Amino acid sequence: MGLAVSIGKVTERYPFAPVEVPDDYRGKPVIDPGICTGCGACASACPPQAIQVKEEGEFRVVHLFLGRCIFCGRCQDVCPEGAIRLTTEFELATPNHDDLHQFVRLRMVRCVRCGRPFDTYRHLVRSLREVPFIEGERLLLCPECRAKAPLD
Amino acid sequence: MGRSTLEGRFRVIDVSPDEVAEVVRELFEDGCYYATGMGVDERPLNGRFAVYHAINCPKRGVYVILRLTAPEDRPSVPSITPVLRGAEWAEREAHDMVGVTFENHPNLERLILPEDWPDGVYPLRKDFPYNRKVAGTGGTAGVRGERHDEATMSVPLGPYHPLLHEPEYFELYVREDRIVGADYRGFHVHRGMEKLAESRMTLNQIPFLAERICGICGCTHSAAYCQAVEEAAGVEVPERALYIRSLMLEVERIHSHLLWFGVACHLLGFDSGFMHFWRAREYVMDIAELITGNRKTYGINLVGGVRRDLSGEKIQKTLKLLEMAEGESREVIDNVVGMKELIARMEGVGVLRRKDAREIGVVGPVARASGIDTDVRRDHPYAAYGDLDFKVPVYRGCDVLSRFLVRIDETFESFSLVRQILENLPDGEIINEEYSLPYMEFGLGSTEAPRGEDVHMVLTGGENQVYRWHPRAPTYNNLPAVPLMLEGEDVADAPIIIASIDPCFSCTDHVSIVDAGSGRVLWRGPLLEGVERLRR
Repeated sequence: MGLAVSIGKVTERYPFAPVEVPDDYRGKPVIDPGICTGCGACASACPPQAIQVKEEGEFRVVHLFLGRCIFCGRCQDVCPEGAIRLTTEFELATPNHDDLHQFVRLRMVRCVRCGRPFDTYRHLVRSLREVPFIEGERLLLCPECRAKAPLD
Repeated sequence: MGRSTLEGRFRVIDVSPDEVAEVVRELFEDGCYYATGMGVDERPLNGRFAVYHAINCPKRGVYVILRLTAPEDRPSVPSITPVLRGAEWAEREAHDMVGVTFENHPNLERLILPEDWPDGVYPLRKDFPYNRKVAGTGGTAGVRGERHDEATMSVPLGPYHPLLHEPEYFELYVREDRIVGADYRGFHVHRGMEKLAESRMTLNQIPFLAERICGICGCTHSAAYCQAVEEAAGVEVPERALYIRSLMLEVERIHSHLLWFGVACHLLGFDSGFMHFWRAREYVMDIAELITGNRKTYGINLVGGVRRDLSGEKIQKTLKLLEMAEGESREVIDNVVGMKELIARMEGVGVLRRKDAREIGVVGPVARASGIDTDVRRDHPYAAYGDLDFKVPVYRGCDVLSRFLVRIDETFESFSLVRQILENLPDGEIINEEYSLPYMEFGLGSTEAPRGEDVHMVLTGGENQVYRWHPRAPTYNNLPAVPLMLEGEDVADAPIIIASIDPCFSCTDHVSIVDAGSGRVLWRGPLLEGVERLRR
């Protein structure tokens, strides 16, 4: 049909040469463990529940499992800290299952009254910017104890 | 007729069981067709079951929603299938999933649930937990006789389509080389999406699930869902967002049609055509990737607007890619339509008469190729289509060639639409997040998907959830027409006839057996017999 001749060779050299993707391509999400406060906004927005927040003793653990991820980027939309973002990386096939998990472990504050770990240090400090009216010892109370503590 | 609510795109009308058949008949005679229907377990609210029939009235630009209810102890309403055969599947589906009986239905057999599903267990009732596991009964319930005689041979085509790579099962009844009848059995991969969305997901998570209904035209599903919720909650969507929605829907249509042209060439034994169409399609995939961050799952729609804006730089890049896509598509299409051998394989093949098309309620290019002038974009303007200029191609050949030609014209209309949108993109916000969700409000969203009318119905729930969500993909309305198209044709033409509706089996998916227009139903083909032989 002549078309093949006029078009010429279109086969790309991938995987022997990289494929370019746009800068805001929705690839592998990565959490910056130095910024994440463990607030859990990403986990509640995540449609396939690829991000889950669990509490393990002294720690709150944000667990991202790429095997469930649909690369929609809602986590990036809702993260108030800009701690999670989608990268341009898309070659995620791996023989090692561990490569598909990211864990962010954040130490938690214990309630000064009941002793229950109730929030991460980082999130508590961050909250002060939003809710400065919680003062003194009340800041270190878990929500339940705070509700019971008299306001003076 | 009783109470009517909400003006605009749709009207919900409570009808009494005595008058429903008459109302439906009048609507059909007025040019309306059956769009979709759903059963709803409304017992927690009012102790009743409800059935919503959505009838599309394109001439009047409105969907009429006929709502029937039945008490818990006698969940039964009159069937409208005897009056309008397009309702057959929807009623059977509501019967399977919610347990509403339709009196005088000609064929109230299982549609969605497998044969060994226990009786009296209805997965879309509210007292059925989404994660409940149901053990099969082990039997093949409802096995009936077969209909072919000595001179007729059954030729199985499936359970995977040999060329479309999707699960379906056609059984062709063949005398010599001629198809004398056909049965369809599909719905092998029902994914329980409605239940999942209603029980476990929140309002703005569902667009991403809706998008995954289809691996080709997902954006149209997320748009239809968002529109349904926006209608229910009265959300005002910024104009720029509406334009971006239309933009992505048209980009999707171009890539979908180019994909189909390629597949059609492949099925007709012309693989060079397949390669060239798919090569031209790559520019369109690049446009999608540039604008949304992904080639296929755009993830662009949320309730209230869209997620990504378009910069001037992106618009320029898009226009450049568009020019290449259009030029090269034109070149390939000119080559293809000049091939007499290819045209001869499509002309006069797979005929669907206009009368049958109307009664079944086929949609999209299949309807437009059978002389039915319908297009949701024009008849029920949504997104930015009210502002845009486009033609709706209609052909009267009723054959595979007409379906091919409709899609060619549409592809170039879409190129023009994308250009119009980019040239007239209004400024402003791209999403409105200031809305509140009313409780138990009905909404209907519909779009013109590449395969035809796509309808989503929503009943809003509390706590940022939906109470009921019912998506209906276009193939659901087009598939019942395929056995009619197959009758009287050569076996060798079956693959292209089936493909001519651009079927999306997984989008439609449930489990069913459909009669071939003879009124008889086949429950057991050679496939099941083979399985039974193995078991013995």
